[in-house]
Amino acid sequence: MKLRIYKILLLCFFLPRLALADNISFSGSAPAEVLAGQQFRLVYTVNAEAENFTAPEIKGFAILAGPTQSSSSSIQIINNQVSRSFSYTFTYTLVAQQEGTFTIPPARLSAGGKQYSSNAVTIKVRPATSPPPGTTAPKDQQAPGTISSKDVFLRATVDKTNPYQGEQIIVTYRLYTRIPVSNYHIEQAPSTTGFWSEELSRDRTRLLQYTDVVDGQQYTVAELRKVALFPQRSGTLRIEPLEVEIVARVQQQQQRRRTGDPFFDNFFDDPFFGRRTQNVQHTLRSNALNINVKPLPVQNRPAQFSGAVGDFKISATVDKTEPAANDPINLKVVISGKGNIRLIDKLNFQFPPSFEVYDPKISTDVQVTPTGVSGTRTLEYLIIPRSAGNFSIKPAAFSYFHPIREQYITMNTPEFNFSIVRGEGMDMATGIAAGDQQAIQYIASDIRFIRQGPFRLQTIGSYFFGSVKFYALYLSPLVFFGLFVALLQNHIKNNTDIARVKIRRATRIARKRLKQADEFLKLRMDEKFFNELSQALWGYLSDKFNLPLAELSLETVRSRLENRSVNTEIINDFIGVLEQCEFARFAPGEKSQTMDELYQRALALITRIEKELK
Amino acid sequence: MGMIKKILPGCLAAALMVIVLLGSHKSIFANPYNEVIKQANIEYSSGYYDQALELYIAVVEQGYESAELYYNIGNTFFKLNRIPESILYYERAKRLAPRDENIRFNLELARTRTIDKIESIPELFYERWFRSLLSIHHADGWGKLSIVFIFLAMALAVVFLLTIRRWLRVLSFYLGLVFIIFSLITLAFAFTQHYQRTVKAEAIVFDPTVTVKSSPSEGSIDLFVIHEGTKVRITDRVGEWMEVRIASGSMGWLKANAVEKI
Repeated sequence: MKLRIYKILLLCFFLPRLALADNISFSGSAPAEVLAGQQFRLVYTVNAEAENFTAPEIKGFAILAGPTQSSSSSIQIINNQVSRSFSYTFTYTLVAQQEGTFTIPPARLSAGGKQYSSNAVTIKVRPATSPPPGTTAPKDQQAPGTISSKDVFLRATVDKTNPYQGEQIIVTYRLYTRIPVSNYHIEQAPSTTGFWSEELSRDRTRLLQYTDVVDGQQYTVAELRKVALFPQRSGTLRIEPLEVEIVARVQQQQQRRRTGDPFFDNFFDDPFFGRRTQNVQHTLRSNALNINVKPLPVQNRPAQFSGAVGDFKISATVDKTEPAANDPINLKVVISGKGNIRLIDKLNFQFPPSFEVYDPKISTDVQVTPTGVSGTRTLEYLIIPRSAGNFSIKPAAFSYFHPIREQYITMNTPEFNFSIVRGEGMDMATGIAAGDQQAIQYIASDIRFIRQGPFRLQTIGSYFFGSVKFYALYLSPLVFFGLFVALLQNHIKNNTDIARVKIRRATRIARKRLKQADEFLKLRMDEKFFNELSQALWGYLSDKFNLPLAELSLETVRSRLENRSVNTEIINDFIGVLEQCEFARFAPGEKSQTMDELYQRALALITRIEKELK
Repeated sequence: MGMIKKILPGCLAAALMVIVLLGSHKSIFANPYNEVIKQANIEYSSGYYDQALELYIAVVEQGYESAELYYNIGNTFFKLNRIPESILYYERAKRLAPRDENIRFNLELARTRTIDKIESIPELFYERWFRSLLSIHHADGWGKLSIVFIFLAMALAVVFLLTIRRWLRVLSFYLGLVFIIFSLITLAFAFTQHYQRTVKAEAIVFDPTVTVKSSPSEGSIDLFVIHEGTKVRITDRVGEWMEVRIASGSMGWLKANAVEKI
């Protein structure tokens, strides 16, 4: 029961997909040009199961055979998608009977309950003997046993004559023949200097064959060799001709005397009798090809570009992201696509310094198809993390040139983050066996980074040292010093001048004051008298010895006078007068007697000191 | 005592003026070309060395220089793998800032990328000491120091004249004398450094390979071969020929256009 449900489900799954193959095409094909009397095939193809094939009305041709029916079917499973294809062919073998252009009307059939009709086929029939237009008459009178270049020739063609450097071009060597060729041998592979080449036609036993008309002549064409070339440098590159040795079966005409009997002659002219075939070896050379290779644009060329040209995809995977230290990691990078896949270099991954990385194992799987070279290039890196911690492999960029879009395309691998755990018996921090201290690993040396501004820009050649400013500054303290000394000298001189005047005027001022005191004496103004007297004496000393009044005291007076070697008696007398004067100023009582006496003494003392000092 | 009070403010004002003058020297931070340099630094950091170089050189062509600018140019040339040019600019930077550690480091690194390994003549220890002492400052630095010393000496002379205290007079006299000697020594250093940067001609070899000849003519004997990035000292010049001495002491003649003067 269960099984049946399963089957139903399976059917449900497949049915819609089978229905998808419903896109039915029905077509007829035949050579566009045939010669009168030539046999050819008219083929109708339909890609579905068909029934009720109604043959068209074929006029102008004799049906030798057909319709013969053949069918083929195939089932393909791609990504769980099942597709089934049928192919039914109905083949007629016809022979042209008369020259002219004939159209065979469409054939009809029904498939899946619907009616379909094919295209009409137009065939031009040429007279068998007349030469095709635009060409000279073929030299049928050629020497027997030889092969002319009209009978068989080799032609090289290229799909692009103006490719980019590194872009794939496909060169096809075709053998055109009108005579049967039994064998061939590629004598010499052409030198393709400046190219990297990939042979596309691996299977030499099965050649693609078809017919083609060149210059009005029908030829059987065989693709002898197909090669994908990748130009390695720019400029005009030459592909040398290919040399092929063929063995052709040539009809050999025996030299016979003609009997004149038309029947007899005709009889022996019959291929079956008269013409013998002979195997003739012949060497063919193809044409040389000139390829004008464009250089890859310099503008916008990424730094990591290493010459890949084509159309690629990149993917990268790692097998684990949290391994223990010393546990190897596999990093697998797969680049797939169409182009010069073999020339893809390893990517410049930036691995953390503690990762031990071996050179990648590079394997290339190239599929060669008649349309060119495609494939995958796999780079497998074996990485051994030597210490624990969090590390990351930064994205690596892969750049290629897309020749159709004419631009560089850069793709990045994803960033991989690893958290490496400590292995057993590992040191805490480093993950290295305990006790093994390591010196700092210097990974590379580089110059130190530039300085950031702002800078002290100075005009070139403007040096401070040696400039006027420098010398001015250097000499300025000397000038200052000179000025200072001059100033000091002047000051001292001024001071001494004042002193001299004071000394000169000291006696005069003292006498003046004493005179004033005398007047106060006469007026009996005691206080004013003493005041004037003491001021006269102190002022005299101050002027005489150039001492400020504040510095005056009885002691300084004595020392100064002694210094000037004044008589001790006079000094004592002088001090006595000063003392009496001070005493009298502040003491009460009768003073008139002493006042007069003091006045006389002071007057006498000044005169005597003046004498002593001289 | 009153006199000192009168004169001292004048002296102080003069000293202050000198300090301001010394300080104001070449303080042109607000130069508009610093904006260009800033842009160039950004280009450098982003890896566009060609653009950065263009901008730096534009500032130099405007007639400005600084040790840091030359250092950055040297770095840019280094990144562009133009080692002779980078050495040239590092040497120019070193002339303006002889003690700068980064310049010395990068110059050494650039030198390891040159072809010629020249054993220089070993210097005697006192020569080495003298050279390192000399290279503490460039000419302007030594010049400023000598100015400072002469000011100090004169200030002490003033003190000597004004003071009446015996110990102060003795101290200021001898100290003043020492400062005058210092000032003269630093002045001599400044002259030496100034000579090095203006008169003393050194050059960097720019031609990939240069054959040094025994005399200034094509036909003369080939003495030795030096390569790009090597420093030579120019000792003489005859027409388009230069007599040069390399670090090992060897001398010879080469074409003037094979080298670029620092």
